[in-house]
Amino acid sequence: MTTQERASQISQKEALKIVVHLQVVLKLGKFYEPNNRILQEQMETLYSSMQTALEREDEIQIYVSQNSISLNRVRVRFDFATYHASKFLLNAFQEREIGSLIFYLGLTKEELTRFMFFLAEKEIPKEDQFEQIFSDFEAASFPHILIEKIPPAEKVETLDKAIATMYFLGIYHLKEIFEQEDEALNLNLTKRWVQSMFNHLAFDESFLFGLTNVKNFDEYTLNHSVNVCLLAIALGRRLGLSRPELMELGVSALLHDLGKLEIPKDILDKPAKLDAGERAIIETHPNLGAEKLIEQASKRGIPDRVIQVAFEHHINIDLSGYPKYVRRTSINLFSKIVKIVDYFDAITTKRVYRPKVFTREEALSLMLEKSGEEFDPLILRTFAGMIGVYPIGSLVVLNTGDMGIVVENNPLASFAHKPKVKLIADPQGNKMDGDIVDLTDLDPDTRRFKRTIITSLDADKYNIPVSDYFLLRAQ
Amino acid sequence: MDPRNNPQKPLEAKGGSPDPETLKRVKELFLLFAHAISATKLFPAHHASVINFQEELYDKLTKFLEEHEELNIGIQENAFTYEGEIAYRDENILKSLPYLFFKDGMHKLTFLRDLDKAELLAFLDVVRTVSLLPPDQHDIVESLWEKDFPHSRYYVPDEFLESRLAIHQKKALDFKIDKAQMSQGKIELTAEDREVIHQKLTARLQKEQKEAADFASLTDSLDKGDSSLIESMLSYERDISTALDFLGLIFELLYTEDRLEPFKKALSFVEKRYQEWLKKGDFTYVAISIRQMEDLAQILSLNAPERALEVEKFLKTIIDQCPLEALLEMARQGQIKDFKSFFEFLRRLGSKTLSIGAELLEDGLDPEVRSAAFEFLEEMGKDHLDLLANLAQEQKPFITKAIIAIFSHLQDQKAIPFLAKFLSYKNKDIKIEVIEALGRFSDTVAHKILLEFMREDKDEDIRTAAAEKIHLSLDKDLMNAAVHLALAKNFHAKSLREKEALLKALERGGSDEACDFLRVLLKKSGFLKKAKIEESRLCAVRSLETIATPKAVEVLRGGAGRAKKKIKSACREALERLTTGKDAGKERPS
Repeated sequence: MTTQERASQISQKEALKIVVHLQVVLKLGKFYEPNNRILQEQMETLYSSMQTALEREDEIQIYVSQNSISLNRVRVRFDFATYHASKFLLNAFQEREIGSLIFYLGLTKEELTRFMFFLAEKEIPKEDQFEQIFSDFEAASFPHILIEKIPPAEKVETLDKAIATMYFLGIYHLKEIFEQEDEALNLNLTKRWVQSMFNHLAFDESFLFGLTNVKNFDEYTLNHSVNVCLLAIALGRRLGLSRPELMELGVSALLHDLGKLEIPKDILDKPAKLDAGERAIIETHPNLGAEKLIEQASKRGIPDRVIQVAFEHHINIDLSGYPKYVRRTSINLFSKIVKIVDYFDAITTKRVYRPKVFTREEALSLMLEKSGEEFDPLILRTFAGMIGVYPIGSLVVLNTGDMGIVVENNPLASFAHKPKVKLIADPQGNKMDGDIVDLTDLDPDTRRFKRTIITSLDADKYNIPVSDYFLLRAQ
Repeated sequence: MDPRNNPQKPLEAKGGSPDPETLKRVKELFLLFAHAISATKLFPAHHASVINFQEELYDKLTKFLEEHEELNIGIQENAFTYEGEIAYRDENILKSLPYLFFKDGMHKLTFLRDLDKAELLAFLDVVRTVSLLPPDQHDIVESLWEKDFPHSRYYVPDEFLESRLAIHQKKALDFKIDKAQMSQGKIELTAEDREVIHQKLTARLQKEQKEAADFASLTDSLDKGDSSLIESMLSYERDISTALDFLGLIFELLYTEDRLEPFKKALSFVEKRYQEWLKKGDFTYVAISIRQMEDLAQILSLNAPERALEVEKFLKTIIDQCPLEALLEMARQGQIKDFKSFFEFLRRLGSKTLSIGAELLEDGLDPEVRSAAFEFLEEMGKDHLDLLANLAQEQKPFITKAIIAIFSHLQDQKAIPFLAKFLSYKNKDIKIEVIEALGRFSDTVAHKILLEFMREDKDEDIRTAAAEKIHLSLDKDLMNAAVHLALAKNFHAKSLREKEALLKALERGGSDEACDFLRVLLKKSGFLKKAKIEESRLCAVRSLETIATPKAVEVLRGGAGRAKKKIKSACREALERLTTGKDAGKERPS
């Protein structure tokens, strides 16, 4: 009896174990020779887990859909601790256009080891990826393994335009919310937008992080709020929030600065330093935002947390900041999350009143210095892990002298400084439409990394429109 | 078109029409689906119709899925389709199931094999909940997305949301990036940046020697410490009551808002929320919100009297306008989750809620509710004895007895006249309770009332009970009145029990007057009712022995010398017990 004919008995724990080890072996295979002890240990664990399942199930089908991985029809649920594994495997499958891997009873350790090396070491072709991989797969002969191409419906040709469109529509939608006076908020639509952003983030977080480099599109506050929303959902997802929680977090983040609508523009955009009176006015925006939402809440069901975030997003973890609490001794989790992403997006954005714009790398270091005082240390650490040492959109100089833009993080914390980089200038500084290079690529002769980041630079200083490199993909 | 709404991919219709048998089964499934939803809207979850439809749907759907792997439902405005064929139609937009899905942009809905019953029921519940809301306040796609059911998928094209979001857009969304320009020109690094690069490059080259050597950390892919800390943090945050958290926040917001108009608006929102909690019977939050607003009024009164006044107005309004009957009904219907907070709330509403406490005490089947109601009445009643007394009714013995017990417990002199009111009651149990309560008072008035019971009540049990509880020693007049009662002609005709009770009352009084009366009683004789008189005299002997003062002993000695044989012998034995044996020394000082 095959899995097609009976319900799978694979438990969530068992499925997760197999998938996580598959990912570990795939990664190690890129760097180690087959006789490496660490690799062998991991292979042994993977094989024994698979063997146990195979003896019971006859076959193991690992199926990758757009943003989920199933094992014998059991959708594997990833949490904070295993998030990186899902991301790595989804990438690995999609890059190779592999839709599913099927392992049959009779699989030997030798065959599994050969296959994992086949996958790990295989240079990914630029065109007809699956066809080329499949032809080599057949030649290598794996009698108890089958690979299948990603079905056409699952294959994502290019959704970048749709994602970018939705990103900008978010800004417009928010503008509409900000502009309506007494009309009730259509939160259903806002929620649908947040849901769409979540789906896109689950599929291609890097591209959306890239889009957060779009700054000052339309009004700053609107653009900033959309960026804060995206980063907050992504961070909430890393932390393991449930979907309903993520929905509330997304709406909270999107509307966190609603109070700024009531602040005179000449104060908001004042190029010089604010005087005490102006500062006091600015500092009323959390109250104003919360009150505006409270007014709306009377007409529509606005979750309490949305009001809370609007009120609390400038209160620090040590309760300094504003407004000042008289009784409460802590701030809400959502407010802590929004505070971090709000600060990060704000200080990496050029504003008339902000003479110094921090690079994304500098922003992160500055924030880590304030950990425990302004920011929750645990959430900040998770944020730093998500954003990476060189956040997406960073302008970097490589040891080869090339310059590039970070376009994708490495999901592994140990390889956080080895992202994927789009090359934009040669060592002489000549601009070019270069390749996207993976900084974990090894030189086959020396077994050393081909490229390494030397430093990051301020893209604004060299008038490099970082966001355009992302928007270009959506064009 | 976005095929990534979770696994909500476009589900391609298979070529050709479905075979008639399969189509028939699908039609039946859709009908069952519609019936199951209708039934859940009409009847409670445990109703037989609901259960039957759900069972039948589950059985037939799982059988279908076992054979066909999945059930793809095409969604049109007024119809469900299967492989291109209309399989269910409902054109009444107000209750149409297809329209419920269609209006939120859903094009396809799929159920997958291995769908279990819990998941199907949860799915039906989402549909039911959504269908009960007004159309502009629900979104089935959003609700299903939040649930993330593992064995159902749906497909919504991104264009649906795009068109909704773009309805009011005036600006074009097209963004043009000049790709060619991005490859033109040169980036001239500043000398400062070049120097930094040079220094870092040198340092990096040395570091990289080590970097490629070991990738062991790749296996250690997660920080277990952080992971468990995050889990604890989430679990802590999830345990915090959102409502309580929000109440805390609103307090801060009101405190910091010094502009009166926004302050009033925020306050009216608190009132709205308060009314919602009140309606739902969430008295934990009702009580807390009142407490917080009272605190706020107090704090603001120091430096923001205008705002403090608003809060006081708010408190007065909510207290004045509270629908008491509805509260009682709510309590009777079992809608109150936290009775402790409920009674705290009633306390804040004041004495007008005493009747609710009384009703709950009378009705309450739950001992905890009764106990809480009793405490409430006792606490509130101490300042409103008259109101409390008014709640007593002869036909409501439970509450009346509770009120008597409260009066007794309070030991407030002011309660005595209210207890006296119960003299007119016919209910014997209530009267007995009143007598017991009055007996506990050390106030003469209470005992004078008892004397009235002894004198006037037609019921021997009541008279006896009053005699058992009265303390004649409190007042000479009381003693004299009691003696007078005992000397009355009808005394001997009373039952032994009543006579004993009266004599015991005199005993407790222990006075010379009592002894004098007993002396008279000992001497009493007569031709009529001989046995009764003798009975009274023997009672007198027992009382004198109990009193045991020198005067009592003297009276006994007199009785031992003069009285009839039976009385004489009783007196002697009493004296013997008093003066010899182990009872020696029992004589009390006068």
